[in-house]
Amino acid sequence: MLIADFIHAMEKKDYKAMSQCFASQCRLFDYCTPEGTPNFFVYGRRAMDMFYHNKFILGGLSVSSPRIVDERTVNFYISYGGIINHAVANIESYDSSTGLIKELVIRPA
Amino acid sequence: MGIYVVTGGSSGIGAQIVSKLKEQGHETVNIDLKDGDISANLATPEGRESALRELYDRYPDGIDAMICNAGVSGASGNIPLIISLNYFGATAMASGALELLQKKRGSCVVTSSNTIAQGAARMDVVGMLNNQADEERILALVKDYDPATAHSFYAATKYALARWARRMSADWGAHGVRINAVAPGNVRTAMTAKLSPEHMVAVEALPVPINYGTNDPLMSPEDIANAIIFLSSPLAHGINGVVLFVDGGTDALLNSEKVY
Repeated sequence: MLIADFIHAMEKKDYKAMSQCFASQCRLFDYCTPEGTPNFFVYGRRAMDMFYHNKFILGGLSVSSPRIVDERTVNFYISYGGIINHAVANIESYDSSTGLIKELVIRPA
Repeated sequence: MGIYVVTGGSSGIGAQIVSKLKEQGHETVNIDLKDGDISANLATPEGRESALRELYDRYPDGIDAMICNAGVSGASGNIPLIISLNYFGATAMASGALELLQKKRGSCVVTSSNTIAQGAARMDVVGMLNNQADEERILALVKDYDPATAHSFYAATKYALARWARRMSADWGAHGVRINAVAPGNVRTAMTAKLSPEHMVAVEALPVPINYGTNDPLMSPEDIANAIIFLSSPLAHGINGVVLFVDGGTDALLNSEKVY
Protein backbone atom coordinates (compact mmCIF):
# COMPACT_ATOMS: atom_id res chain seq x y z
CA MET A 1 0.00 0.00 0.00
CA LEU A 2 1.55 3.27 -1.16
CA ILE A 3 0.48 5.30 1.84
CA ALA A 4 2.30 2.82 4.09
CA ASP A 5 5.41 2.87 1.90
CA PHE A 6 5.33 6.65 2.01
CA ILE A 7 5.04 6.99 5.79
CA HIS A 8 7.57 4.26 6.52
CA ALA A 9 10.09 5.97 4.25
CA MET A 10 9.39 9.22 6.10
CA GLU A 11 9.90 7.49 9.46
CA LYS A 12 13.23 6.09 8.31
CA LYS A 13 14.25 9.46 6.79
CA ASP A 14 14.76 7.60 3.53
CA TYR A 15 14.24 10.37 0.99
CA LYS A 16 15.06 8.11 -1.94
CA ALA A 17 12.40 5.54 -1.00
CA MET A 18 9.96 8.32 -0.22
CA SER A 19 10.37 10.01 -3.58
CA GLN A 20 9.95 6.64 -5.33
CA CYS A 21 6.35 6.57 -4.08
CA PHE A 22 5.62 9.52 -6.37
CA ALA A 23 5.08 9.82 -10.09
CA SER A 24 7.66 11.77 -12.05
CA GLN A 25 5.27 14.71 -12.38
CA CYS A 26 3.79 15.09 -8.92
CA ARG A 27 3.30 17.53 -6.10
CA LEU A 28 3.38 17.52 -2.33
CA PHE A 29 1.97 20.33 -0.19
CA ASP A 30 2.88 20.48 3.49
CA TYR A 31 0.75 22.78 5.64
CA CYS A 32 2.21 21.46 8.91
CA THR A 33 5.36 23.54 9.05
CA PRO A 34 6.03 25.37 12.34
CA GLU A 35 3.95 28.47 12.99
CA GLY A 36 5.41 31.55 11.34
CA THR A 37 7.36 29.62 8.71
CA PRO A 38 6.32 29.13 5.08
CA ASN A 39 4.44 26.04 4.01
CA PHE A 40 6.21 23.71 1.59
CA PHE A 41 5.20 23.16 -2.01
CA VAL A 42 7.35 20.62 -3.82
CA TYR A 43 6.83 19.77 -7.48
CA GLY A 44 8.36 16.72 -9.21
CA ARG A 45 9.91 13.49 -7.94
CA ARG A 46 13.51 14.66 -8.31
CA ALA A 47 12.78 17.86 -6.43
CA MET A 48 11.12 15.76 -3.73
CA ASP A 49 14.25 13.61 -3.47
CA MET A 50 16.47 16.72 -3.08
CA PHE A 51 14.08 18.65 -0.84
CA TYR A 52 13.66 15.83 1.69
CA HIS A 53 17.37 15.01 1.55
CA ASN A 54 17.85 18.55 2.87
CA LYS A 55 15.02 18.46 5.38
CA PHE A 56 16.00 15.11 6.91
CA ILE A 57 19.71 16.01 7.24
CA LEU A 58 19.65 19.75 7.94
CA GLY A 59 16.01 20.67 8.49
CA GLY A 60 15.36 18.64 11.62
CA LEU A 61 12.43 16.81 10.02
CA SER A 62 11.19 13.65 11.65
CA VAL A 63 7.96 11.67 11.66
CA SER A 64 6.61 9.40 14.39
CA SER A 65 3.65 7.37 15.62
CA PRO A 66 1.90 6.80 12.27
CA ARG A 67 -1.62 5.37 12.17
CA ILE A 68 -2.81 4.29 8.74
CA VAL A 69 -6.44 5.37 8.43
CA ASP A 70 -7.16 3.96 4.98
CA GLU A 71 -5.42 3.41 1.66
CA ARG A 72 -5.18 7.14 1.06
CA THR A 73 -4.72 8.57 4.55
CA VAL A 74 -2.24 8.40 7.40
CA ASN A 75 -2.33 10.19 10.74
CA PHE A 76 1.03 10.95 12.42
CA TYR A 77 3.24 13.42 14.27
CA ILE A 78 5.53 15.59 12.18
CA SER A 79 8.38 17.52 13.75
CA TYR A 80 10.56 20.26 12.32
CA GLY A 81 13.47 20.98 14.65
CA GLY A 82 11.52 19.69 17.64
CA ILE A 83 8.32 21.64 16.92
CA ILE A 84 5.68 18.93 16.71
CA ASN A 85 2.40 19.05 14.80
CA HIS A 86 -0.32 16.41 14.70
CA ALA A 87 -0.76 15.83 10.98
CA VAL A 88 -2.75 13.96 8.38
CA ALA A 89 -1.32 13.08 4.97
CA ASN A 90 -3.82 12.39 2.25
CA ILE A 91 -3.21 11.07 -1.24
CA GLU A 92 -5.34 13.37 -3.38
CA SER A 93 -4.68 11.64 -6.70
CA TYR A 94 -2.73 8.86 -8.39
CA ASP A 95 -0.90 8.84 -11.70
CA SER A 96 -3.13 6.91 -14.10
CA SER A 97 -0.30 5.14 -15.93
CA THR A 98 2.05 4.22 -13.07
CA GLY A 99 -0.31 4.08 -10.10
CA LEU A 100 2.15 6.20 -8.12
CA ILE A 101 1.17 9.23 -6.07
CA LYS A 102 0.45 12.30 -8.15
CA GLU A 103 -0.64 14.62 -5.38
CA LEU A 104 -0.28 14.37 -1.62
CA VAL A 105 -1.24 16.97 0.97
CA ILE A 106 -0.13 17.11 4.61
CA ARG A 107 -2.53 19.09 6.80
CA PRO A 108 -2.98 19.67 10.53
CA ALA A 109 -5.04 16.84 12.00
CA MET B 1 38.25 47.65 -22.53
CA GLY B 2 37.72 48.27 -18.84
CA ILE B 3 39.69 48.35 -15.62
CA TYR B 4 38.35 45.71 -13.23
CA VAL B 5 39.50 45.49 -9.63
CA VAL B 6 39.00 42.12 -7.96
CA THR B 7 39.66 41.34 -4.30
CA GLY B 8 40.64 37.79 -3.48
CA GLY B 9 41.61 37.13 -7.07
CA SER B 10 44.46 34.71 -6.41
CA SER B 11 42.34 31.59 -6.00
CA GLY B 12 38.86 30.09 -6.31
CA ILE B 13 36.07 32.25 -7.74
CA GLY B 14 38.29 35.34 -7.78
CA ALA B 15 40.97 33.64 -9.88
CA GLN B 16 38.29 32.57 -12.38
CA ILE B 17 37.01 36.14 -12.58
CA VAL B 18 40.49 37.53 -13.22
CA SER B 19 41.26 34.88 -15.81
CA LYS B 20 38.02 35.42 -17.73
CA LEU B 21 38.28 39.20 -17.67
CA LYS B 22 41.82 38.97 -19.04
CA GLU B 23 40.60 36.65 -21.79
CA GLN B 24 38.08 39.35 -22.71
CA GLY B 25 40.91 41.87 -22.96
CA HIS B 26 40.22 43.85 -19.79
CA GLU B 27 42.84 45.20 -17.45
CA THR B 28 42.57 43.51 -14.06
CA VAL B 29 43.93 44.40 -10.65
CA ASN B 30 43.95 41.58 -8.13
CA ILE B 31 44.09 42.71 -4.51
CA ASP B 32 44.99 39.76 -2.32
CA LEU B 33 47.07 38.75 0.64
CA LYS B 34 49.22 36.50 -1.52
CA ASP B 35 50.14 36.75 -5.19
CA GLY B 36 48.10 39.91 -5.78
CA ASP B 37 48.91 42.74 -8.13
CA ILE B 38 48.39 44.75 -4.98
CA SER B 39 49.34 42.84 -1.88
CA ALA B 40 47.19 43.78 1.09
CA ASN B 41 45.53 42.26 4.12
CA LEU B 42 41.91 43.34 3.72
CA ALA B 43 41.06 41.97 7.15
CA THR B 44 42.70 45.06 8.65
CA PRO B 45 41.83 48.76 8.30
CA GLU B 46 45.48 49.49 7.50
CA GLY B 47 45.56 46.92 4.73
CA ARG B 48 42.38 48.34 3.16
CA GLU B 49 43.70 51.91 3.34
CA SER B 50 46.98 50.88 1.78
CA ALA B 51 45.23 49.03 -1.07
CA LEU B 52 42.91 51.97 -1.74
CA ARG B 53 45.82 54.43 -1.78
CA GLU B 54 47.53 52.26 -4.35
CA LEU B 55 44.37 52.14 -6.47
CA TYR B 56 43.96 55.92 -6.42
CA ASP B 57 47.63 56.35 -7.36
CA ARG B 58 47.42 53.90 -10.24
CA TYR B 59 44.01 54.91 -11.63
CA PRO B 60 43.33 58.60 -10.96
CA ASP B 61 40.88 58.66 -13.88
CA GLY B 62 38.70 55.93 -12.38
CA ILE B 63 37.91 52.24 -12.64
CA ASP B 64 35.08 50.37 -14.35
CA ALA B 65 34.31 47.81 -11.70
CA MET B 66 35.08 46.84 -8.14
CA ILE B 67 34.45 43.17 -7.40
CA CYS B 68 34.60 42.53 -3.66
CA ASN B 69 35.11 38.81 -3.58
CA ALA B 70 37.70 38.21 -0.84
CA GLY B 71 36.34 36.14 1.99
CA VAL B 72 36.84 33.20 4.25
CA SER B 73 34.42 30.35 5.01
CA GLY B 74 32.93 29.24 8.30
CA ALA B 75 35.13 26.14 8.14
CA SER B 76 38.05 28.39 9.08
CA GLY B 77 36.62 28.63 12.60
CA ASN B 78 38.16 32.11 12.84
CA ILE B 79 35.22 34.35 13.80
CA PRO B 80 37.16 37.65 13.98
CA LEU B 81 38.68 36.99 10.55
CA ILE B 82 35.27 36.11 9.11
CA ILE B 83 33.85 39.41 10.37
CA SER B 84 36.78 41.59 9.39
CA LEU B 85 37.40 40.16 5.96
CA ASN B 86 33.95 39.13 4.75
CA TYR B 87 32.04 42.21 5.86
CA PHE B 88 34.36 45.11 6.62
CA GLY B 89 36.89 44.04 3.98
CA ALA B 90 34.16 44.22 1.34
CA THR B 91 32.19 47.27 2.46
CA ALA B 92 35.28 49.38 3.14
CA MET B 93 36.85 48.53 -0.21
CA ALA B 94 33.62 49.19 -2.11
CA SER B 95 32.95 52.48 -0.32
CA GLY B 96 36.59 53.51 -0.61
CA ALA B 97 36.57 52.93 -4.36
CA LEU B 98 33.28 54.76 -4.93
CA GLU B 99 34.93 57.96 -6.15
CA LEU B 100 36.93 55.99 -8.72
CA LEU B 101 33.79 54.16 -9.83
CA GLN B 102 31.84 57.40 -10.19
CA LYS B 103 34.43 58.75 -12.59
CA LYS B 104 33.65 55.99 -15.08
CA ARG B 105 30.05 55.29 -14.07
CA GLY B 106 31.21 51.86 -13.08
CA SER B 107 29.70 49.08 -11.01
CA CYS B 108 30.33 47.07 -7.89
CA VAL B 109 29.58 43.41 -7.17
CA VAL B 110 29.98 41.83 -3.76
CA THR B 111 30.14 38.09 -3.15
CA SER B 112 27.50 36.99 -0.65
CA SER B 113 26.30 33.38 -0.19
CA ASN B 114 23.09 31.40 -0.58
CA THR B 115 23.39 30.52 3.12
CA ILE B 116 21.70 33.89 3.71
CA ALA B 117 18.38 32.20 2.84
CA GLN B 118 18.82 29.11 5.00
CA GLY B 119 18.11 30.59 8.40
CA ALA B 120 21.66 29.96 9.62
CA ALA B 121 22.71 33.58 10.10
CA ARG B 122 22.86 35.16 13.55
CA MET B 123 20.53 38.08 12.94
CA ASP B 124 21.78 39.92 16.02
CA VAL B 125 25.21 40.01 14.40
CA VAL B 126 23.69 41.06 11.08
CA GLY B 127 22.07 44.01 12.84
CA MET B 128 25.31 45.02 14.51
CA LEU B 129 27.25 44.83 11.26
CA ASN B 130 24.75 46.87 9.28
CA ASN B 131 23.69 49.37 11.93
CA GLN B 132 26.46 49.73 14.46
CA ALA B 133 29.22 49.00 11.93
CA ASP B 134 31.92 49.46 14.55
CA GLU B 135 34.52 46.85 13.67
CA GLU B 136 36.61 47.26 16.80
CA ARG B 137 33.69 46.88 19.20
CA ILE B 138 32.15 43.97 17.33
CA LEU B 139 35.50 42.14 17.29
CA ALA B 140 35.86 42.72 21.02
CA LEU B 141 32.40 41.25 21.53
CA VAL B 142 32.99 38.06 19.55
CA LYS B 143 36.58 37.31 20.51
CA ASP B 144 35.65 34.56 22.99
CA TYR B 145 32.93 32.86 20.97
CA ASP B 146 33.25 29.14 20.27
CA PRO B 147 34.89 28.59 16.85
CA ALA B 148 32.38 25.76 16.35
CA THR B 149 29.72 28.44 15.85
CA ALA B 150 31.70 30.14 13.07
CA HIS B 151 29.23 29.11 10.36
CA SER B 152 26.47 31.25 11.87
CA PHE B 153 28.86 34.22 11.86
CA TYR B 154 29.86 33.46 8.29
CA ALA B 155 26.20 33.46 7.24
CA ALA B 156 25.68 36.68 9.22
CA THR B 157 28.50 38.49 7.41
CA LYS B 158 27.15 37.38 4.05
CA TYR B 159 23.60 38.37 4.96
CA ALA B 160 24.74 41.77 6.19
CA LEU B 161 26.85 42.25 3.07
CA ALA B 162 23.92 41.56 0.75
CA ARG B 163 21.67 43.87 2.78
CA TRP B 164 24.34 46.57 2.79
CA ALA B 165 24.56 46.37 -1.00
CA ARG B 166 20.79 46.84 -1.27
CA ARG B 167 20.86 49.72 1.18
CA MET B 168 23.57 51.51 -0.81
CA SER B 169 22.14 50.81 -4.25
CA ALA B 170 19.66 53.67 -4.55
CA ASP B 171 22.06 56.45 -3.66
CA TRP B 172 24.96 54.90 -5.55
CA GLY B 173 22.71 54.37 -8.54
CA ALA B 174 21.75 58.03 -8.44
CA HIS B 175 25.47 58.76 -8.63
CA GLY B 176 25.88 56.52 -11.66
CA VAL B 177 27.31 53.49 -9.85
CA ARG B 178 25.44 50.19 -9.70
CA ILE B 179 25.94 47.75 -6.83
CA ASN B 180 24.70 44.17 -6.71
CA ALA B 181 25.37 41.00 -4.74
CA VAL B 182 25.87 37.46 -5.96
CA ALA B 183 24.87 34.60 -3.66
CA PRO B 184 26.68 31.43 -4.68
CA GLY B 185 25.88 27.94 -3.48
CA ASN B 186 28.60 25.58 -2.28
CA VAL B 187 31.47 26.01 -4.71
CA ARG B 188 34.33 23.68 -5.61
CA THR B 189 37.48 25.29 -4.23
CA ALA B 190 40.77 24.25 -2.65
CA MET B 191 39.01 24.50 0.70
CA THR B 192 36.06 22.25 -0.22
CA ALA B 193 38.51 19.67 -1.53
CA LYS B 194 39.73 19.24 2.06
CA LEU B 195 36.35 18.94 3.78
CA SER B 196 35.86 16.10 6.24
CA PRO B 197 33.29 13.36 5.50
CA GLU B 198 31.02 14.95 8.16
CA HIS B 199 31.16 18.31 6.41
CA MET B 200 30.49 16.63 3.06
CA VAL B 201 27.27 15.13 4.44
CA ALA B 202 26.10 18.67 5.17
CA VAL B 203 27.23 19.92 1.76
CA GLU B 204 25.38 17.11 0.01
CA ALA B 205 22.23 17.96 1.97
CA LEU B 206 22.15 21.26 0.10
CA PRO B 207 21.42 19.73 -3.29
CA VAL B 208 22.23 21.64 -6.46
CA PRO B 209 19.33 20.86 -8.82
CA ILE B 210 21.31 21.40 -12.02
CA ASN B 211 23.78 18.77 -10.79
CA TYR B 212 21.08 16.16 -10.07
CA GLY B 213 22.31 12.64 -10.78
CA THR B 214 25.93 13.68 -11.29
CA ASN B 215 27.22 12.87 -7.78
CA ASP B 216 28.74 16.37 -7.78
CA PRO B 217 27.33 18.39 -4.88
CA LEU B 218 29.28 21.52 -5.74
CA MET B 219 28.98 24.46 -8.10
CA SER B 220 31.82 25.28 -10.45
CA PRO B 221 33.73 28.52 -9.63
CA GLU B 222 33.37 29.30 -13.33
CA ASP B 223 29.58 29.49 -13.01
CA ILE B 224 29.87 32.07 -10.24
CA ALA B 225 32.54 34.04 -12.07
CA ASN B 226 30.36 34.27 -15.19
CA ALA B 227 27.49 35.75 -13.19
CA ILE B 228 29.73 38.27 -11.45
CA ILE B 229 31.31 39.36 -14.71
CA PHE B 230 27.87 39.80 -16.26
CA LEU B 231 26.61 41.91 -13.34
CA SER B 232 29.71 44.08 -13.42
CA SER B 233 29.48 44.60 -17.18
CA PRO B 234 27.54 47.24 -19.12
CA LEU B 235 25.19 44.43 -20.25
CA ALA B 236 23.69 44.57 -16.74
CA HIS B 237 23.12 48.33 -16.91
CA GLY B 238 19.52 48.02 -15.72
CA ILE B 239 20.33 45.81 -12.75
CA ASN B 240 20.97 47.57 -9.45
CA GLY B 241 20.37 46.51 -5.84
CA VAL B 242 19.80 42.87 -6.71
CA VAL B 243 20.89 39.76 -4.81
CA LEU B 244 21.40 37.16 -7.52
CA PHE B 245 21.42 33.54 -6.37
CA VAL B 246 23.90 31.54 -8.42
CA ASP B 247 23.37 28.15 -6.85
CA GLY B 248 21.92 25.97 -9.57
CA GLY B 249 18.46 26.30 -8.04
CA THR B 250 19.12 25.36 -4.39
CA ASP B 251 17.47 28.47 -3.01
CA ALA B 252 14.40 27.99 -5.19
CA LEU B 253 14.20 24.35 -4.12
CA LEU B 254 14.24 25.21 -0.42
CA ASN B 255 12.47 28.58 -0.49
CA SER B 256 10.07 28.41 -3.41
CA GLU B 257 7.57 30.73 -1.72
CA LYS B 258 10.01 33.63 -1.42
CA VAL B 259 9.60 35.53 -4.64
CA TYR B 260 10.72 38.87 -3.26
